[in-house]
Amino acid sequence: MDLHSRMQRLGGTIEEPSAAAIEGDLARGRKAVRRRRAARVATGSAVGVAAIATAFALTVTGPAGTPPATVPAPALAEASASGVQLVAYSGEQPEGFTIDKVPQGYTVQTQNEHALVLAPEQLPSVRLSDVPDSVLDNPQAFIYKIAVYLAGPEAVPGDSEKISVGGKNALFHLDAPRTSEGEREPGARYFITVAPSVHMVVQFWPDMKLTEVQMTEIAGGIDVAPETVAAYVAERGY
Amino acid sequence: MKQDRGSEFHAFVAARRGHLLHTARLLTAGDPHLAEDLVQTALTKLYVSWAAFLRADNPDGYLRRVLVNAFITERRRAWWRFERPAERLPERADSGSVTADTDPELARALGELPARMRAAVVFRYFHELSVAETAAALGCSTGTVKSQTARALDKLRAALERPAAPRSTPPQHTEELVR
Repeated sequence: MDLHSRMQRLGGTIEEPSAAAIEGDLARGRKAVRRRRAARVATGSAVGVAAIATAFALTVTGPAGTPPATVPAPALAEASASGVQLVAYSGEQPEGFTIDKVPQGYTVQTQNEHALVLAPEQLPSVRLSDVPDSVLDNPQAFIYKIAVYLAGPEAVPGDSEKISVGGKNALFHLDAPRTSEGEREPGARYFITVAPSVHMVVQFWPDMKLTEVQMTEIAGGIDVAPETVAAYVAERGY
Repeated sequence: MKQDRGSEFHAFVAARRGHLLHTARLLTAGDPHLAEDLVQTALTKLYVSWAAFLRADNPDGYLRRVLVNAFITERRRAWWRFERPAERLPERADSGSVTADTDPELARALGELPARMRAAVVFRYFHELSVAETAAALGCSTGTVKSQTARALDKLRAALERPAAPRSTPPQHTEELVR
């Protein structure tokens, strides 16, 4: 028996699905739509980068500004090709920040004195959610985007992992746990220490199809100017 | 419109679920339970993006992409679960044999392939898709598809030519470690 025939046999017979199976698929689909809508409403209601930063801070268990004793490799579970290419950032550098690499097609959509948003010029041609195109035009919505902002220690989830990003001490948090209910690609936040009580957060939305290696490379290539950090510290009183 | 999506989806699942499951069994190296999980995940994603699926220039290609993405994600979940053996290992050892029993050597050989390589050989060699169609499904270049398929077939042949290990001998690995 040749390989093709063996594969045909291993695949099993093609049977008509039962009514229960179809109803189960339909019920799961409807449930997922409701969940997505709820998530979208939550995202749309956020105002400004600071609000989003707060919304993403799920739990706070104490200050995370202590430097790591060691610098272990990040939790890079998957380093396989993602289908997304990273390219050198060729646009005008935003004030107070420098960007080295971005996913192909990404540009700076907006920025203020201590935050910026990188967005794709157009939504992926094949996407796994029915995100309206208008989301891209809204600089306060972060779907398929990279948000970079300064934050204090209270923004760091307690279960973040100490890592090194681009030679800098940082904490890493995976934002979409791979639970049996999870239906999203993992998103992530990198909290790169830029002052004793200040982190530069680089936040990747789930479903961007970036590997963790790529996210680390992007995060490691973003720098914030000392003056920007100083202004943030003065404003917040850290 | 919700009812339209529901009825359209219902008809779609009735017509295509069996085929999806067939492909999923190959992607999961003959594990019927993982295959069922994969199909459920893919169909859920498809329902969520139903409007985009209907608008797609190539619905079959869109469907394959959804399946592959679900497969890669499911692989990550399976790997994650393996770190907690009590949750998954005993069940897998039993249930996996239902389909794999039809050809355990091929199931083992497929299982040794990395996820994307396995998907490449399933689409390109078994479903006889073009290089371009397979590349679209995998989200990679045509060159990658060619090299992945060639390497996959080589690996499959080599694995199938190896003498099969005795089955149902879970302590074997432990014994090797002890010696």
